[in-house]
Amino acid sequence: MTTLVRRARLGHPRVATMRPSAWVSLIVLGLVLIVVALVAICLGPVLIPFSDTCRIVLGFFGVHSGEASSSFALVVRDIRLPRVLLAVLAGGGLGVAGAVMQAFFRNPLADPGVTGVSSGAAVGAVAVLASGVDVLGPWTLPAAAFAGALLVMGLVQGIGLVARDRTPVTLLLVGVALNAFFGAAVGALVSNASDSQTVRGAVFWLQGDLNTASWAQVKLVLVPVLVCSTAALLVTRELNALLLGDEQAQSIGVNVSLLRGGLLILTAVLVGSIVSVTGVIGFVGLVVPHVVRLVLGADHRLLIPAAALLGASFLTAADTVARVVVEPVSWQTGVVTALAGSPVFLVLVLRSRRVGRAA
Amino acid sequence: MTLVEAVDVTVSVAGRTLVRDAGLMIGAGEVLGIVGPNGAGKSTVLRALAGLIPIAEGQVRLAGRPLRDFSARSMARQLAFVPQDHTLTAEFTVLDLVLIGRYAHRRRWSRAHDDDERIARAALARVGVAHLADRLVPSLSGGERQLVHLARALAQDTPVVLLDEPTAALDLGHQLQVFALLRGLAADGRGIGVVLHDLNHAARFCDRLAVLAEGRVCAVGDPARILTADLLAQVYGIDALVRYDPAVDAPQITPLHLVPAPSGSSIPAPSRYKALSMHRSPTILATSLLGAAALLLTVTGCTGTASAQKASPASARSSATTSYPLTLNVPGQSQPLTLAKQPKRIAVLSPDASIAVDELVGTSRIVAATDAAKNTTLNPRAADFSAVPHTITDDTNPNPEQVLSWKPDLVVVTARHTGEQDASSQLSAAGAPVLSLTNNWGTVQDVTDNLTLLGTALNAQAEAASLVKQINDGVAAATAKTSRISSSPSVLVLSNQAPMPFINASDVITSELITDAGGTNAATAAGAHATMPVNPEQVVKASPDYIMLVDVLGKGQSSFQSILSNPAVANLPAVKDGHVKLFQAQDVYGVAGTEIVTGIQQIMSWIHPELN
Repeated sequence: MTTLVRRARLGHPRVATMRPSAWVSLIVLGLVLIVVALVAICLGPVLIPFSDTCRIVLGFFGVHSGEASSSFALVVRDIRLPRVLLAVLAGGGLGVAGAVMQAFFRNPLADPGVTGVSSGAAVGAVAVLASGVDVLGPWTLPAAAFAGALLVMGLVQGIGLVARDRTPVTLLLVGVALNAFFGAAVGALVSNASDSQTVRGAVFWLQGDLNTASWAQVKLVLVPVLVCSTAALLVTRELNALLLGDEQAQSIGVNVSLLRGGLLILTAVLVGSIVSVTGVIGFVGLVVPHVVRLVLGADHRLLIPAAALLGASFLTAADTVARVVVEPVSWQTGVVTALAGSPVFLVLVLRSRRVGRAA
Repeated sequence: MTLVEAVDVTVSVAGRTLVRDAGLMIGAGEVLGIVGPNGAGKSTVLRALAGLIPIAEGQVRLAGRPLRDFSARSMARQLAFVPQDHTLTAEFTVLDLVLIGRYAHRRRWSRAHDDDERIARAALARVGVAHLADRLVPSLSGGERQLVHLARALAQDTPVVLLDEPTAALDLGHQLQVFALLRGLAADGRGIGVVLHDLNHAARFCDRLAVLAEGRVCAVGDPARILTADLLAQVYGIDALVRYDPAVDAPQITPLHLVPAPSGSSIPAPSRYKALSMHRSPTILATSLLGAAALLLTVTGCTGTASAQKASPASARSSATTSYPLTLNVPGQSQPLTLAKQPKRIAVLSPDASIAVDELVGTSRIVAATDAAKNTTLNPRAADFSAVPHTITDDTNPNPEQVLSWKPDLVVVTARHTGEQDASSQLSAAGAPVLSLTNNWGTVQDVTDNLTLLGTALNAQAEAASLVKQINDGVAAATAKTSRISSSPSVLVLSNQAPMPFINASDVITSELITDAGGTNAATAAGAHATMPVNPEQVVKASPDYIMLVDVLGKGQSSFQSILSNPAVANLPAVKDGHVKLFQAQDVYGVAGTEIVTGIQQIMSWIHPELN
């Protein structure tokens, strides 16, 4: 990894100049995440002195034994910590899912939202909400969301196979069409729900929200996000190869159909489990890998861990804004990610174009 | 020694045969050129040799073994493939790109080995682009990019290298450089297969040529022997001069002119295009089907009936009562409402208004009501509505055309959401008499105002007055009781609007019911200024004396478990002391009639048990 991104020699135009080294970048992103998470834990409707917060957090991790029964401790441990951890896991997972899907579709515009995977998960979840089906207890909703996400990824791949056309543009267009289809299906389910109260709840849920964060939800996404992110880290070289095109990847020794099948399941599990808990939070999967790529380059060995760390920071920050800063107006987490994400994204893209032309 | 060979290979894509019974072999130390006109199947044969497309019949053998015996990785150590165009646009450095070619030689857990980097740099040097190592791939020219991809294939270090038109993007100097490289690779003992367009280059630099036409191999062998004027006329349809050029020690071809195509021979190019269009069509079909289906789904959300007609103005025939025609000033409505006669076909588009109309005149005159009005959880008089003929399924977004089709002589709506406001203005424009209630039944005063207005419109003034009196008396009796008490416990209102609990702010009537019952709505203390999903920390911040659960969905207390079981919430005095109670929505939420008094009494006996 140390040889991953080389500092350029002076005098060479258009080289990978000014790129920080891989480890430095990851350490900086890790520190940013820790700071963001700490700030998020310190802020909330209940005013808790900073020193108390630190003592409680340290106590939670077994470093310092704080007063366990105080109501401050309960707020920090049972409301803020699970919420921040959920944001970290969901944001990191969405960042990884976005980076993986952009390699899968070989298109920087792909993300769980654009390609319909989130919509697929939403259809599964809303179908459960609207019908009131309860087969697997607390796992009903995640399972339905996962099934929906898997269905969309499977359809994209299947249509590509049947059409014998797996060029990036075709795959993305299939995804866009499926997104429209499943978006409409969600709309149909919502507007035909048996009572209008379910509708209102579903609408809130569809915009993405972390209000219900609990340790149970953290546990629900913890394993899928950790397993899938680790899996993504294990196939970074294969993801790099996939950027060359399926044929090239195959010819340098990557089992492309196995890889694609694996990525399909990986993204479906990631997006399905996250959407089932947080609702549809847009923009993280699109913006985060893109920003990382602009600054650190396209190599997945760096892109995947960096997208996980930055995604975690971004969603945690957005959720903190959603619940603290904008009072008395109430915004939902998904609204903040889009409101904050789009201008940042635009500025970065336009700036990189200008730099590209100047070079 | 034969390195790779195709034995009677047939390749079909989407039912169309692109290559038929092709036989080819590439030996160690030789360069095999694959030539032929556009669409002859050159690239297809090359891809079949590389194992990149499925073979319908025949077999490809690599190092004497069938291709299916190889894993992707073990095959990549035997055979490298360089396609004609390179899709990579990502910002890799050249060296990193070439290192990707070392994939099959590295184990998963190994770092980028010094050896790998040495081999990659040597490959770049051999292609003559060592100086590009630190450049970013997107900044390269087309020719440089082609050379870098050649270096990537070299770094793969395989006995067989297959290339698809490697010189297509290159200038003359770079072309010669690539051919020198290919000759050098053959001199190492590797077998090279290369698709070429330029017959002169092919004749000069290849040891043997395979000439393809219409998917068949029609000649294989030494260029000097097989490149004849007859073959060129037959395969390319040209009249050409073929002569030996001592300067390059190879036959050189000068095309002179086209010869007329022999009759009965199909022209390859159009068939290729047809194949292309066929293999694309399923995608297009699928996409358009999806589009259509999506459209269909959107449309079914608001099914309209074509038979809608304008509500006709009532005839001048006077009705039984003398108060009609009636002109009514509706607050918030610019035009007064004119009713020609007593309404007998009332469409009530909002659930609270349905309850009020039912209390005033019963449901026999109601022609349509919302599904919420028919829901026993939300409406204590839901049974009255079972006989109402038509149902409005989406009460936040009623469909005006559907409403018109029921021919109402009065439409009552609470213009709370944009959808209701739009429907109300469209119905007015269509000539239907619309009574649009602009206050939101959010206070007791709103409710009594609305009852009075509706009573006038429906010729039920006496009933309205009686109801208003009942409500006012009930509220007065309650406030008289609570005015004697100094304490005013705080009550936090949560409702189960699936899937997450909501916090109900002071904008709903529940808030006034609490005030009248001698309590305070704790929403403001919790920092909630609108009815929205609740953050458990808001509950902790408000630390209310009582927590009121409103069962909107009829799912019981279990639907609030996610928030009540949170240890921080469970630790609140209200929860510990059992000051949590589930209320039926029909008593305290969205009430629009005498339930107001019931609701106040229920809350009062809960938070002020000393008054019982």
